[in-house]
Amino acid sequence: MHERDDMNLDETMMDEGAIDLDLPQPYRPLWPWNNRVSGTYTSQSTIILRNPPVVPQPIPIPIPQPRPSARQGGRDATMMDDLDPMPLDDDIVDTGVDELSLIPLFSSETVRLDVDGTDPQQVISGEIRRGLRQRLHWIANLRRRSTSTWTGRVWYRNGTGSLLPQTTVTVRAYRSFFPHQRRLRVTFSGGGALTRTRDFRFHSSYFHDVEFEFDHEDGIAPVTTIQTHAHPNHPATVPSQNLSIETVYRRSGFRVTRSAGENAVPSSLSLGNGDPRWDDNEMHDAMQTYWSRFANTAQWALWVFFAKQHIQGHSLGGIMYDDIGPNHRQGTAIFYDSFISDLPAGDPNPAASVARLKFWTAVHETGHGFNLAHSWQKDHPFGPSWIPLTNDDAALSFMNYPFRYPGGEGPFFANFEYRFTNQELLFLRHAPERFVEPGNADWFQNHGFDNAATEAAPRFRLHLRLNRDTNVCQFLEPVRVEFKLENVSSTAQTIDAGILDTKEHLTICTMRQGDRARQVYPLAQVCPRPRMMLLEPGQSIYATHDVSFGRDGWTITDQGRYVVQACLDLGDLDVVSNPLMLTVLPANNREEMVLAQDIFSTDMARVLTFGGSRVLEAPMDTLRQVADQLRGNPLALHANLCLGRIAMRNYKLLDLKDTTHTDIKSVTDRAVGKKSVKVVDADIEAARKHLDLALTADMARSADLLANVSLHEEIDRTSIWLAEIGDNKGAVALQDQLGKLLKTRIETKTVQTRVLAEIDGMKDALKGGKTRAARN
Amino acid sequence: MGTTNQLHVELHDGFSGEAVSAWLDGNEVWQTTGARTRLQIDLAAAFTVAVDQGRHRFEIRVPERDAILGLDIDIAGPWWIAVDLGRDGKLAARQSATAFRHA
Repeated sequence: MHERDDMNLDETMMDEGAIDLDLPQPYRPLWPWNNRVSGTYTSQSTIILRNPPVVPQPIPIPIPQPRPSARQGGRDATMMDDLDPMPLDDDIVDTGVDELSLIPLFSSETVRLDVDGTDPQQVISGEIRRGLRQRLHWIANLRRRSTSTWTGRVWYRNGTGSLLPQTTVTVRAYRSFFPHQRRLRVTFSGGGALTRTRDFRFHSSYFHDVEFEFDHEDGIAPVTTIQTHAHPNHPATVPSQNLSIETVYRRSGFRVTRSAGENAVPSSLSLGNGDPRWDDNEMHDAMQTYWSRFANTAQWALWVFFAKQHIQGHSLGGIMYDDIGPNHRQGTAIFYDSFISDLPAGDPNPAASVARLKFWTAVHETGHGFNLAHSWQKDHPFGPSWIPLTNDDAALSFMNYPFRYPGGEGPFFANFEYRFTNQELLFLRHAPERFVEPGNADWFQNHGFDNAATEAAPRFRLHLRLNRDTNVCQFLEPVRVEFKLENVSSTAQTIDAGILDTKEHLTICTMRQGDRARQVYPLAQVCPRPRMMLLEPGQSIYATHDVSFGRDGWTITDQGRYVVQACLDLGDLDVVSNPLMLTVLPANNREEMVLAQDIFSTDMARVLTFGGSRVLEAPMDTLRQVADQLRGNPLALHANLCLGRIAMRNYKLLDLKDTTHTDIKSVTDRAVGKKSVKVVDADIEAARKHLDLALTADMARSADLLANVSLHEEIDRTSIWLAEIGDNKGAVALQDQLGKLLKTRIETKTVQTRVLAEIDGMKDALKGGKTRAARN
Repeated sequence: MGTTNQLHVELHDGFSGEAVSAWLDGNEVWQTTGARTRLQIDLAAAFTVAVDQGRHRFEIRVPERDAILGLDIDIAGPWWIAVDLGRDGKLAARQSATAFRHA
C-alpha cells in the first residue's frame, strides 16, 4: 500500500499557499499544510568565506585598513552547526569539504524532496550542474529517521557520476509557516568520499511547472472536470469532489496553469484531404497555428486538442499524435466522436460514465505527452525505460485502459483513485527533466531514464594557482594566474599543446565575497592551429592568464576575498578547476586610491592585455604615473612591461585625422595616402630601462607576480629582442639569470627540470645568432 | 450464398516493421511489408475482410520471425481479432464481438 495523505490536502501542493478554487474544500486543516516539506529546493551556491564582511572604501580619503584576520567577527563553517534549527538566510548555504568549489556559474544544485503531501514516494532526487556541460541526476529512496530527518542510499545516477561519489544521503528539513524560510540541509556521505553538506532554499511545493492549453474543434465542449461521485461506481476512498485535469497533475507534482489563449479551431481545418476527420499532420499543423505557445523547442507546456474524430475512426478515443518533427510530445488530442462518447447499455448513469471516460482519456493522452507509456508497455523492447519497469495489466492508473483491465471497466472504476501509479509518479516527479519535458526526449525514449551513463574516472585535472606562498594580492595588482592541466589518468592522452595558451577553450569566472560571479571574457579571439601532443600520465601543460580584467572591464578591483575558477572545454568533456581563493589587500596609500579611478577602466584593461598602446594615450599616461609613483605596487611591474614593449620597436600608427573616412577603402588607398601611416621610432634606451625594472631588477619578485611560465615567456621575448638589436651578450645574460632563478624553484617543485633544458637551448641559439629560436 | 459478416483484424503490440500476411481458409486476404506498432495507441495495422457466416481457418504469418498463428473461428456476426507479437517471437490473439478501443 502506498502512503496517502488526506485527499483534502491535495490542492495544498499549490505554491506558497495559493488556493485551488475549483474544489470545494469545507475544511482545510491548517497545520499539516503549513508543516509540509515536500517540494523543490535550490542552492544559491554562495561560498563560505571566513573573513569579516568587506567595508567599502571611500575614495579618495586614505584609511588605514587592518589585514583581515581569519575569524574576526565573521561566521564560518563550524558556526553552521550552531544555527539549528534553521540556517540563516543571507550568506551561508554550503558547508563541508566542498565549501570552496562552488561558483554559481559552475555549480548549482536542485533537490526534490517527496516525503509528504499527495502520494509521497519517500524519495529525494537532485540535479548537480557543474561547468558548461557536466550534469548529474541522482535519486535516493528515503527512510524517516525522525520527524524532520530522512536518510537513504543513492540508487540512480544519470550523467557525470563523479559529481556525486557519495552513496548515502541524509536530509534534514527546517520547517516553517513561511515558505521562504523553509530549508533543507542535505549531507552526502559514504562511497569512500569525503562527506559533503549543502543547504538548500525552498523554491516550490511542486516539482515542475507546466502550462496546459485546452483548444477545441468547433462544436466540441471539452470535459476538463468531473464530479467524482457522479457515477455510483467509485472507490469508497475517493472523496466527493470536482476533479479537474489540472488538479490531477497538481497532485502528481506539477504547478499547473491554464493558458489564457485557448481557442476554438474551425472544423474546416481538417478538410484538406476532403475528409472531415483529423489526421496527425493536420493536427500538427493546427497545433502550430492555434497553440499560443507553440515553439520548435522543448518547453513545459502542452497543447490538448478536443476534436471530433481521428481518421482512424470511432475506435480511437485519443492520441498523443506528436511524434512528428524534432520536438515530440507537445500535442495530444481527444476525440469525442469516438467510443468514449458511447452511452454504455445498462449503466446506472450513462452520462456520468461518458464524462468520466472523456476525462480519463484527456488525462491519459496528456500523460503520453509527459512520456508515460501504457501500463502494459512499461518493459518494452522498442524503447529503453529509464529504470527497469514492470508491465502491469492490472494497474489502477490513468495509463491503463479501463477496458483492458481484468474484468473490464466496472472493476477498474470501482477501484480507480484518479491517480498514476507510484512508478509513474516517480518518473513524473524525479526523472531527469529532459525525459519528461514535452518536446524534449523523443516519444518513448527513456520513458518512465535510460540506464545511468556514468562517466569514467576523470582524465585531466585543471589546477589554478598563484606563484607565491600566500594567495594575497596587492590593491591594483593585475592578478595573473597559472593554469596547470595534468593528465591524471593511467594512459597517455592526446591533447592540443596550446589549449591553455588562449582563452578560446577556457571559461574563467571570478566572484567577490557577497557578490555575484562574473565571467572574464577575453579581449581578443584567436584561433591557433592545434598542435597535438601526447600527454603522458602525470605530465602537465601550463599557461598563465590575467583574470582581473576582460572585455567587460575589471572583475577584481576592491579589497576583499575572491574566488577564481575556470572550466576547460576539451570537446567531449569539461574540466573544472579548483576554486582559487585569493585576498586583495586594501590600498596602501592615498596615491593608490586616487589612481584606482583611472586604472579600473576598460581602456586600461585593453592596454594591459595587448602590452601597451600608442593610441590609448590616457591609460598609458596613467601607467607612466604608476611606474613613477607606485614603484612598490605590482602594477608598476606591468606598467613597465607595457612601456618597455611599446618602446622596443618602431610602431606604426594609422592617422586618419585629415582623411574623409567614407572614402577609404583600405590603408593603401590613394585617398588615404602614405602620410596616413605614421611610424613612431623605437626608443631602445627607454625600452631597456622599463624592461629592466619589470623583469630583471628583482627577478624573483617578477616571477611571483607574473608566474614562472609568464616570466619565462617575457624573458625569451626580451632576449630575442636584445639579440636582434645586437646585444647577444645581454640576451644570454638574461637567460642565465632566469636559469639560476628557476633552478632554485625546482627544489620547491614549482618548476620542472625540463625548463632548464629549454633555457640552455635558448642560450645556445642566442649564442649562435639564431634569434628566432623558440622554446620547445 | 450465406450471410456475410465483417472480420476486423488489428495488429497491436510488438511489431517493428515486419512483413505480415493474413490468410483465410488457405487464401491470402491481406498483407503488408512493414507493420510497426504505434505505441501511444497500441496499434500497428488494421484491416477488414468480408467473411461468410460459419467456421473458418484464419492465419497470421510473420515469416521473418517464423511465426504463424492459426485460429479456428466461428463467424456469426461482426468479429474482431487482435494480434500481438511477443518478445519471444510468438503470436498471440484476443477475440471479441465488440471493437477494440485505443487511446
